[in-house]
Amino acid sequence: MSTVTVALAKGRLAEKAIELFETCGMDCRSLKEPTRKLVLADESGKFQFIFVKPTDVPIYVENGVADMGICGKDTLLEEDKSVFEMLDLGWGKCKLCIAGYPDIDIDGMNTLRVATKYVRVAEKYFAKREQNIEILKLSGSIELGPVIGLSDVILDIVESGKTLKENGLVVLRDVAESSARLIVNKVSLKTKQDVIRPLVAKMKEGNAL
Amino acid sequence: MPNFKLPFGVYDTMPETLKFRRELEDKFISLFSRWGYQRIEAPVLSGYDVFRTGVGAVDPSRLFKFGDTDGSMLVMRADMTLPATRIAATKLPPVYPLRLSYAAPSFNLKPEEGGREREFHQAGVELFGVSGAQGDAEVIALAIRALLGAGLTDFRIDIGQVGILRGILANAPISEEDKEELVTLINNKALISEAEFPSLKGLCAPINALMGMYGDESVLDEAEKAIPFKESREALKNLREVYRILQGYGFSEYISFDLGLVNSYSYYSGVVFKGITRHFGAPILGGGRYDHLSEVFGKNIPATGFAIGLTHMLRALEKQGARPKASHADEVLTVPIGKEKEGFFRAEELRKDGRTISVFYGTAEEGKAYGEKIGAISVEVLGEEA
Repeated sequence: MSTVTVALAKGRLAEKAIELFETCGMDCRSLKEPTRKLVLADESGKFQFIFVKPTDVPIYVENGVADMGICGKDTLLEEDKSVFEMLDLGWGKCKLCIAGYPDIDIDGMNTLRVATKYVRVAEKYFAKREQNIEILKLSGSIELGPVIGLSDVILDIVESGKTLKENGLVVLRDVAESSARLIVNKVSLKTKQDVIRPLVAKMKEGNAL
Repeated sequence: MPNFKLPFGVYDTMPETLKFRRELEDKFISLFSRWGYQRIEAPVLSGYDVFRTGVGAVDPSRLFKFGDTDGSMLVMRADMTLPATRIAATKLPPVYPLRLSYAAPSFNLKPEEGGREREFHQAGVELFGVSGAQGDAEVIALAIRALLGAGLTDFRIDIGQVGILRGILANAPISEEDKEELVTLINNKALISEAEFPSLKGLCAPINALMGMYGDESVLDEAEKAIPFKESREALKNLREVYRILQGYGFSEYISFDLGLVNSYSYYSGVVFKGITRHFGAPILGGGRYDHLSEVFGKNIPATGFAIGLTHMLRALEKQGARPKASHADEVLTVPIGKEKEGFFRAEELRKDGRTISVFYGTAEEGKAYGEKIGAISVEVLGEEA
């Protein structure tokens, strides 16, 4: 039997994922020990785990070097890769929002300056509304955009809204909802179905507990 | 400073890889021709209208475009099916079945799925004028024969039928824009809800069920029970018929089903399929029935076919360990300067037995060193032959 490779986003999502795999009967002791290794196997050797940057999970899975992975819907929307999206795991809930100062008139702007990590999502959202925008791609501290005058608004994930509030910003529009998703390579689901299908069913069950 | 780097997504092909690919192409083309599929070629350049009209319309951002001398727009072909259909509809006598094949590159300015190739090589067939299940079964059987003939192991053809979804959507007032988004979600098996698609009231359940129907032929019974719509049932009946024929050919072990497989909803009109293997993370072959494509040319010719992605195929074979060892310039004949005439006739004599002879002009030592560098199996020096 061939090994199934799972790509996990380093950090909180990976911890939750390992918990879930344990609920499904996998022995994940080796995954919890502190290590700098990027590739780890479970005790049975049937599964192999790779730990990657959250936004990279879809590309590993699309190319089939990982058979499955867990990442946020926000990443899937931005990366736009061809993968099966098998389960909404429900955790890691957040919203993709447009935020800015409460008095800004989004529709009235000639060219709206948008600071964001989510370039594709922003382009798609505003193209649909036929609005001209200028995108300022940032990779962190997005909220700074309007505060310091780099942009008119931001498009970013909002969990509690605390950072926004502390900087005097508010949510102006909801763009999409996000939560953790189980994704599977389009070929692996069929060619390794003896392993992957029962696992997906167990994860669905285990996640509901 | 001039920049000689290749643009992204286009690649040089080195002799070893090209030899391997050409051998594979030749195998496919000769198989196709023994099944009656005659090879055609079409120009890489085409008028824009061909690629922007009707169900074959390609997203303009994916087309390489140029201005022609008269100011009109030229594009590079995005696939071979459209030129083949144009040839069938406008150039060849309407005698059916008409079978055409090709092995050629096509172009995609902005590739999305899998591989980043902007110039991609495909070998494929188009079967015109057979509307029934026999036509679909024939091209699927030929696809299986082609993959077997290439020496690929552990593959299967995963089959769906877009009519099943069409039957469901016939009951919903869904906009074209929403439909496109919906098809992307279905192709990704991402479950949908009425909150996202209010116009699909009561239809989300059967659509979601459809995405889960993949595996062996038992999914056909599952679908029969879950989906009550007339057009869906007819599509299922057609799929069963195709499967029955393929079973009769002894090919059931190579067949699986995915009723959530749609690919392009507007383009395909019936059975659709993909070839997949354990040895590669993306499909190596794709095809299906496209009965409405010829309408672009004012005709109404039922058609089905498939294309094998040669780069994917090569990678799968390589991964499987089926790539033959390189065999370049097997033998070197060293010809001393001044002995060209004798060298020429000696080389010609050796080549008569089908041997590959590369000539080196120089001394015995230089010739020996060259032979070693290129990995030649034997080195002969003119006048010293054993």
